[in-house]
Amino acid sequence: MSLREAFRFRLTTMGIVMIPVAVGINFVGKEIANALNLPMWLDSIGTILSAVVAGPWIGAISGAVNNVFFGLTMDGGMSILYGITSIAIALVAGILGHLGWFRSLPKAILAGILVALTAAIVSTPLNVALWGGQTGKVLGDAIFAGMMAKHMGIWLSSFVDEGVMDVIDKVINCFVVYLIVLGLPKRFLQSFQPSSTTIRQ
Amino acid sequence: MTSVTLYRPRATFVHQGVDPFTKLVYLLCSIVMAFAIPTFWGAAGMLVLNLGVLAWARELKRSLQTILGSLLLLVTIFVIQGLFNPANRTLLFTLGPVHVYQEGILFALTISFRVVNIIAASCVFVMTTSPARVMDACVRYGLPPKAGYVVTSIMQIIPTMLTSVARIREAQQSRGMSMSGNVLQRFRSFLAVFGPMVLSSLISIQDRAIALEVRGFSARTKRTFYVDHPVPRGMVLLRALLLLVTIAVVVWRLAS
Repeated sequence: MSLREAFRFRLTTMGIVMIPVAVGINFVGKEIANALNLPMWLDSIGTILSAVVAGPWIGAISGAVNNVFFGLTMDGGMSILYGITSIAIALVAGILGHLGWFRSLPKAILAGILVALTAAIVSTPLNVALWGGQTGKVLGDAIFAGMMAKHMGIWLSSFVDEGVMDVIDKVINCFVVYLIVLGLPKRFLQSFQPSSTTIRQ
Repeated sequence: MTSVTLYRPRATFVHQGVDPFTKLVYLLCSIVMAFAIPTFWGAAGMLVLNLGVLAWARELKRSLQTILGSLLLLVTIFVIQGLFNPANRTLLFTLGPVHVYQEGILFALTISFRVVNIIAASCVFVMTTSPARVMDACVRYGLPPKAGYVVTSIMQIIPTMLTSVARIREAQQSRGMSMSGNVLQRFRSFLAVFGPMVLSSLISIQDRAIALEVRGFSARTKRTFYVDHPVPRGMVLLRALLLLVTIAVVVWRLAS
């Protein structure tokens, strides 16, 4: 299958049902990570997983719906704007998944780094516009303050602030996605392929 | 099983008298205005207005708690910008070896007003509007019913998932899984709970898809509504007013 095939916009019923499940997985992942006091967010597993399993568009919609939903029901609006980051993450993860990067562990980790760089590039302008460049995470903001003190510029400082946190978080996200894809039955993965489904519109 | 949303039904005008779609328009206009409004007095006025609406809806206390949640970040913004903002020229005051500059503080003030205004406006929307009613209204105004399904089913899926997480956690704990230990051990417990939950919910996707298809999910006919929600009088006027004010603020910004 070519890359163009992966980007053909197909809204199958399976894909649509995948979206709320992906949002739920994001939420529950974040909750469990919180309960276990893990030092990362693990809040985009569902987005990445849906992009890998159901293609970049379903992933992108899951990401956007995720942020709009939580922005409008729980955390007060700010996360809606970060929906753009979720969409970018899903598109990159979807392409890499299509190229088979989530079938081997080293490539999945590399995919995590690429996803993290994408997230940092897209989030930095938002961080600068909303928070003057900070992210609200202690480690990252300490680096930000240090770099600002050395006059390294708000953009570079903010990018490093976001990037450091993202690389750790997204690599682990992608590692978890790799493990899950490993555990999924082939029949399930195939049901998202265009030719084999009986419940396609 | 608790509700995941911040919405609590109450009998105030903001809850009952304003329809969900108008409140959505209010939120979107507020976000645009929070970025566009050019003066501190304008931003402060907007904040007073937002807090006034929240007080009217008797949700002031809960929304202040939400705003306080971002207070720590706002304080660090004042510190970092006041000390290190690249535009810093005018010395405001000196605290021992620390120099605080006017430009950075003004910048931090702009950002804080923006953030607090966006949070306050979203509180107005989030705390007074039933998410199901919002989706209902959006589908009426032309949003595809499938999108309506996606959002409504999130609200049903999350409590179900949380229940199954609790069940899996107890099962794993009875097999000796520990919730504490070093980061690596805790990460392994994460996988032990998270993995089964994700796999089972993914497998259930196929069943859901078939169940929906059987009920005509992909049918291309016009949908009808089960309950009718009439839009209160004067709301169209209020929406138009909100849009006009937003355009005026954007023009004011571009002109100043």
